[in-house]
Amino acid sequence: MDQTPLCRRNPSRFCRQLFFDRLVRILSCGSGFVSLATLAAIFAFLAILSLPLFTQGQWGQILSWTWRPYQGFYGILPMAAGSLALSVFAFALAYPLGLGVCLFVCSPRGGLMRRLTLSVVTFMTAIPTVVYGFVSVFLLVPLLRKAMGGSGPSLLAAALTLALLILPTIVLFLHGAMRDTEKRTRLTSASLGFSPLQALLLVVLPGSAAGLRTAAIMGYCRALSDTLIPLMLAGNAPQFPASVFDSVRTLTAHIALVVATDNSSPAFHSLFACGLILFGVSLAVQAAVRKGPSRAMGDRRLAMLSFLAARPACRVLVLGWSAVSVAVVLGAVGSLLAFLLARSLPVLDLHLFFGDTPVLAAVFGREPVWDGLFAACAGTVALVALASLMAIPIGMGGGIALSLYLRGPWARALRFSANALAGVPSIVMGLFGFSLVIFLRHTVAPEANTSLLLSALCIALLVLPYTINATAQSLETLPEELRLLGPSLGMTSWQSLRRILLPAASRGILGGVVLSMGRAAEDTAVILLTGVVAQGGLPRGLFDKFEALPFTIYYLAAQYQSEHDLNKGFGAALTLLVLTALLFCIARALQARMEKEWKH
Amino acid sequence: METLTPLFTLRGVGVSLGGRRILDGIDLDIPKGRATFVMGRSGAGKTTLLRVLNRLNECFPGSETCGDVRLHLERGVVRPYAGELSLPELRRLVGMVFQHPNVLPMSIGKNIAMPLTTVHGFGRDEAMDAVRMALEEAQLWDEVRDRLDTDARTLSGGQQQRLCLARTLAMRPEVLLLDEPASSLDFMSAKGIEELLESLRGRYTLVVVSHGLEFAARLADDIVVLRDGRVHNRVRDISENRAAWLDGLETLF
Amino acid sequence: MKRFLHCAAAVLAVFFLMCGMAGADMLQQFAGQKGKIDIAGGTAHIPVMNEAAKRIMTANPDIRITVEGGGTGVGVQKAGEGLVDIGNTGRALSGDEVAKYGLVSFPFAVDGVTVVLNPANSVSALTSAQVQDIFAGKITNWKDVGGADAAITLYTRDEASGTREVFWGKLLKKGAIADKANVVASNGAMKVAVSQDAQGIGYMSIGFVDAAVKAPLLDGAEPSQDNAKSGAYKIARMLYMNTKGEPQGLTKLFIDYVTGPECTEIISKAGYIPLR
Repeated sequence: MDQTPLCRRNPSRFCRQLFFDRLVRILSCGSGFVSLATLAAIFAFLAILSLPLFTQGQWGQILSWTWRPYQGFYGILPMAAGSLALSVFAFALAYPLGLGVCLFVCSPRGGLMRRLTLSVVTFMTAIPTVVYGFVSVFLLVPLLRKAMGGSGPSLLAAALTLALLILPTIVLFLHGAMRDTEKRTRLTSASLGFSPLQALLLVVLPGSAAGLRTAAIMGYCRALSDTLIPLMLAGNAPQFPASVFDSVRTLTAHIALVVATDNSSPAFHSLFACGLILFGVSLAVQAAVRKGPSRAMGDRRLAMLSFLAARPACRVLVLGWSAVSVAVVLGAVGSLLAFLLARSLPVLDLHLFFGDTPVLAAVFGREPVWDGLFAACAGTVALVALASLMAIPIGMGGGIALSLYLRGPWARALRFSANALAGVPSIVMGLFGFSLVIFLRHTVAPEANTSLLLSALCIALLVLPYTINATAQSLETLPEELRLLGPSLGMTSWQSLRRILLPAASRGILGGVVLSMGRAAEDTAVILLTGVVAQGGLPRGLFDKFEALPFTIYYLAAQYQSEHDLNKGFGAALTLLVLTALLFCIARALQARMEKEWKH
Repeated sequence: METLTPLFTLRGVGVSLGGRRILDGIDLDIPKGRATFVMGRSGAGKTTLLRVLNRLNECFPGSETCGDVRLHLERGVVRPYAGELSLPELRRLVGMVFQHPNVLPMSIGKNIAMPLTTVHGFGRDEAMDAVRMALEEAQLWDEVRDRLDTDARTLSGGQQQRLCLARTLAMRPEVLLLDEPASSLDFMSAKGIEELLESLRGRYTLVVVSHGLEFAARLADDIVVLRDGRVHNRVRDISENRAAWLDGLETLF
Repeated sequence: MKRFLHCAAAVLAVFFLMCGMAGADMLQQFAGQKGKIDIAGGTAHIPVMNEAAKRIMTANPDIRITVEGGGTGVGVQKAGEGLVDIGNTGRALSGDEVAKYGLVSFPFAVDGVTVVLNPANSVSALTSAQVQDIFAGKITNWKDVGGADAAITLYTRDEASGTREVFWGKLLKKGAIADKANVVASNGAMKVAVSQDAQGIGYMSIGFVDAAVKAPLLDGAEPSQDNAKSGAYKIARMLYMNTKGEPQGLTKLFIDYVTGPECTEIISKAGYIPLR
């Protein structure tokens, strides 16, 4: 037997491995700090730009109940109240529903229906916010108006739609946690003689306490940070809502509505105060829920669960609730899709995309397209590709750094920054992008402008935490012995990651990437402030303004001027939906292929 | 008594994990080419001691190791904790087999070949030769020679553990760390593993964590008994009179 | 009579010929040009801007013109910051705005701002005082102004709107607008909102009025562009394009085109009275 240790036989190769390992370590830690730096930059912009309020003593004016800038009243409290009311309302609707759906999905009964429900809920993540808003404007609002009277756009309309929007987030987080717990404890609970439902209530739910909490955080933050739904459906009156039928304005919608004011006016600065409030609230919510009663579930809730599990009547109630939730969710999504399809399929043809321009000429950019959705489609595709190009490597790097390389305070800082960044509402990100351009113009780059690049950058930053968290979480949930295997075989950390950990964690990571690409495609609030235009043709470069589908939908929902415009809106909504669904399927297929590769 | 060449010398080694002291003031020599058994009750720090040797404790956040660890190689003495030997290099010299067989979700052949191609840059043929050698050494070749392409997870527990052993052996380590390698297996499989380890004795330096007294008495050269993170008892050269030791072993704890 | 018709025909023929020639001339000036023009601001302007952009880009695909709304405030801010080449406003710039940003204005059309109601609303005439009270939230039921017994829903524009400023300044006399008013972001959105809400009342550019909404008589005057131009209808304004400093190159060509003879047809078609 050759006694020379193998690793000394080829020192240059080994050096290369070590160098590469170090390089990857530096790169991933570096990308981890992107989120930290972004957070710091956003905070700095918000703070600096709201600073004049303090120095000029207008702080008291800001904290008042009247917003009438034309009369010198800059109070943002009505908007704060609106945000709070809407998000709490929507969350209170969505969380129990989500829990019900999840109980159904996790129970071993009803195979086909269960799979269908799960795939519908998963598919809901692919439905863009603006499509929810669009369909609600034409389906829910007239219904509410007919049923309840009033003006239609109201707290209620927005909350119902928002609840549907945040539901998949809640269900998928819950389901992820509960499925793992269920797998772990299946045999134990069976051996204790629990019925499947009892096992769910007594073992799986308490065992997924962390998941319940994460789902709550993510769901609530999504509700709080959404801009489009309130902007399209809540009526936007700057008043304290006295009833659910009242028109309200949220902080997010407020920013979108008011951003176009003189850069030195108190109204402009007050927006940054709004941003700070949103920022602070989402931080506080995360901190509060994360730091809550350690890991296990509280005794009182356990007692409630065992109460539920022990009594047949209660079990029926639980089952009933979960059936009702599934019915409500499937019904809502079904009617949404049916309505959208019924209105958009009849009008869907080449003319809708290309207007009167010959298709080939349009595709190759030789002739501009009028009255068609082609430019918007192209803009959205370019935006998603560009944003993903930036967000996925950086996000994965950050996640890897978080789970593998960083320890102690740095890891805590990165984790904190990722969570905080996830809570940053997209409109605040847009505001950040917009003020960044203003800042650049006044300092180093006088040519800086809102553009495709800026939008993609902001959207990349927006979806970054999703990729970071998904990567880190997936890596951390791998079994300990699998994580130790690579090092014990003398692999460098990169080799272990590349050969063992990443393939094993690929499902979870890709799940995060799917979510983030979907969000990149659908986000409207960011691009609203960073370079989207209603008409502009194909973007010819990174520094051009661009059209995008979600903005087109938002734009047409509010201001279609003809039946043709309306049809265009429906067509655009369907197109965006198909586009996001397609992205979704591509990612899924990729995931399946990667898994297959790994298995052989 | 001849003086043995030590492979590892540990002086005053302590390990704490997240502020909790797991090992404290360990002085230990691990002689080259012999089988050292680490024994003791659950929670005595056996696994941690094993992981001191290949610095695997550092894969856990909040772990700290102090003290002096020296590794005596042909080219001289190196101190792994002082950065004189890179982590991957150390771990390639010090192979490890875990308590539960942790085969990778890939084919039997790939389970062994993948680390080789990754770490040592083996070509396809070279790797296949090594796979065969390792499987023969682990006495698994005859059982799996016809199905190297099937998923390793279809093997029985004992076969999986032997596959893990083969995977470690294929890396040509100097030392084998075995963390209760037979404890999760049925009696027959455990016996197979124990017999396999006996066949490896003398060819590798073995450091074994085990609860099996009989097994220890049969295989061990030295026995270290840990208690509450310290060396409680230490027996050298039990091979001289194995039968006698088997009776006396219980008194060591 | 016959002679008159001949004359008229001849005049018309000459007029159209000139228009055609002038038009061809105007568009020809863009030949060989390359580059982009970014436009943002007033939402009343959008139909005109879109049509002009369409014609120019069709004649010369090397030119890229982007059109964005946002309201007058956006036009001032973005043109002032240099983020766009042309910022549209639905009102004259204030002295501060001119001084701060160095903006130059190019009016191209006259436009009135009118109160709009849902066509189903039985009210068809309002006085200025009534409108002021309705928007201040003092009158909250349609029966108080001669309509059905139903609560009034207010729709207003965001503060960036030039339409809002004109309406607020000229009709509401800078009086209060109730906080409970729903806020919409453009003229188009106002039309959609009011057309869907039987109890709704809002205000918008007369150019956007069509069968979907009803413009009630205001103090007896019919809100029409002709009345706005003649002065019979008081709530009127001009639509402006603004540039930071004197326009150059493509931007100048574009402004010349919109204020030029060929664009009068586009402007009229969009529902405004061309200045030219």
